[in-house]
Amino acid sequence: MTENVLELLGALLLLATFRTVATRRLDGYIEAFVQQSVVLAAIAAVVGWATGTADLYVVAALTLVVKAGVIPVILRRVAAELPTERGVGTLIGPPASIVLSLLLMGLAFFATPSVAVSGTLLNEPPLAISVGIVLIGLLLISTRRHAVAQLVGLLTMENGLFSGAIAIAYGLPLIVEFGILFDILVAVVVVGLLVTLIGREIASTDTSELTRLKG
Amino acid sequence: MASLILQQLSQIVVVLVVAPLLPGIIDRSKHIVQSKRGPSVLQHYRDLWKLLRKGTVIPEDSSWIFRVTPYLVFATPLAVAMLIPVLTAYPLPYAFMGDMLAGGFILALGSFFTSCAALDTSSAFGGMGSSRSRVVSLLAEPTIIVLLFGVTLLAQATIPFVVNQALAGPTLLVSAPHVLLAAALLMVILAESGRIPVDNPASGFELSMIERSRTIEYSGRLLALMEWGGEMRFFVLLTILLNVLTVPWGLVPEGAASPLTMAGAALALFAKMLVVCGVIVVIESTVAKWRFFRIPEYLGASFLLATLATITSYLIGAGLTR
Repeated sequence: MTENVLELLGALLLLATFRTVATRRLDGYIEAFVQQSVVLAAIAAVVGWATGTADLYVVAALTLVVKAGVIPVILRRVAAELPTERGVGTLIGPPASIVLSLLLMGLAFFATPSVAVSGTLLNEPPLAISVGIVLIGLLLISTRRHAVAQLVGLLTMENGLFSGAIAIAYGLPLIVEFGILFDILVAVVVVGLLVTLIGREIASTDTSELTRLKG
Repeated sequence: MASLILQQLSQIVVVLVVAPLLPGIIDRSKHIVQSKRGPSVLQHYRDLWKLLRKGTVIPEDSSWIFRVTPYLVFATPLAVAMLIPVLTAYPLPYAFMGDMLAGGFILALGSFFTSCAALDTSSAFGGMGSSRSRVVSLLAEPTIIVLLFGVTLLAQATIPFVVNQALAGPTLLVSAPHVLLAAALLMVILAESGRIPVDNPASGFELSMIERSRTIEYSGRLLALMEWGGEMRFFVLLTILLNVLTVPWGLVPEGAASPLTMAGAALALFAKMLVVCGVIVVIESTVAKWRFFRIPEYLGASFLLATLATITSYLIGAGLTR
């Protein structure tokens, strides 16, 4: 039963990730990231319940607060301050991105069984899903030109790693988890500031216009 | 044997009689959501009754295709209704005539002839409508193929009566591939039966219509057959979604067939359909019809669901062998 529920949550996680790739609007990226984080928190809670690890409940609560609460608020604030522009978005459109991420997903599914991982509650699928999510985050970073979208790509990668850690080792030690969450929070604040500054400087958030390197 | 034939007939009669009720219910509920009163749920029966008594105009330059098509559109959903579990959980005599692939082909035949008939009259709107509906079907095709692969992988069978027992078993009922497949099928059904977000069934604007512009030249009795056929097609597709792919509960078990249990099964099916109609009403009240050139994205999403379902089912080794 728990296995079925986790499988379903894994599928939901995947769908939320695919939503980040399929969206056209800036809001869509942030909403999809919130969904992803909520599902991730649910996965942490269910695994915590199934394995009797109390730490995972704390991790789930922290994930909810930080990733589904604070970070989206910061991202929305950053997005609201930016000059509104249309057409800054993608090097490849949503349909092509969906097909590409499907291929990445297939790659992850076929590659991960060869990675021998022992001592896990649930073997290949969760790990494969996590690897796939990391790859899709990478795809987002490399094909989206809007700075906020790239940031969401980075956060997606982090979510993939997080779910991978849960799949393999029932989550990282609590102190490490704290560190990571604090780290990405700081990263989001810094990148948010940076994006706002870039926006003011060149009146655009198109990262392809950042061509000159200044010391 | 005689009772088996009667059961087979009763399945067909249920499809025939209940089909016009579903669009009526959806229409009425949509109007209520919009704070209007709306037409009676029986409006589609009244329409059919009115059309059946009216005279028919056949375009002068049209060929036999135009005249044959309504009968095909009317007959194909009924033929599919013989292959799928509408009321009974056990296969009836004609159930082994064909599997799910055959059902898909039979339904596609009606759609194919509708497009031919629309071109046959050489009216501009007919041509436009059939070309558009071909595009939608073309884009839905990959999803349907992968969906069939996924179902076959999970259930190790393509006969609907076997598939539904396998999928509703305890290991598969709430598994990820099963849920993804059901979602993909619902999206394809919405596209194939011309509902929002692909087509607006309530639209009267010729330039934006897809499904309705194919029947624009029909009138009277032939139009009644076309509309009734379309409603039955929708009913049959929903039956496949509910009784084959997701929740085959409330069907008459083997050896318990009586008029009472049959009526109970029909009621159970109807109740399940009301739930799906509720979902459709929510979708149609919150989402606008998408631009035509965004339909690939919609069907791409359904393709994504079906593919993910197939990949996951393949790799977690789901299916009967687990």
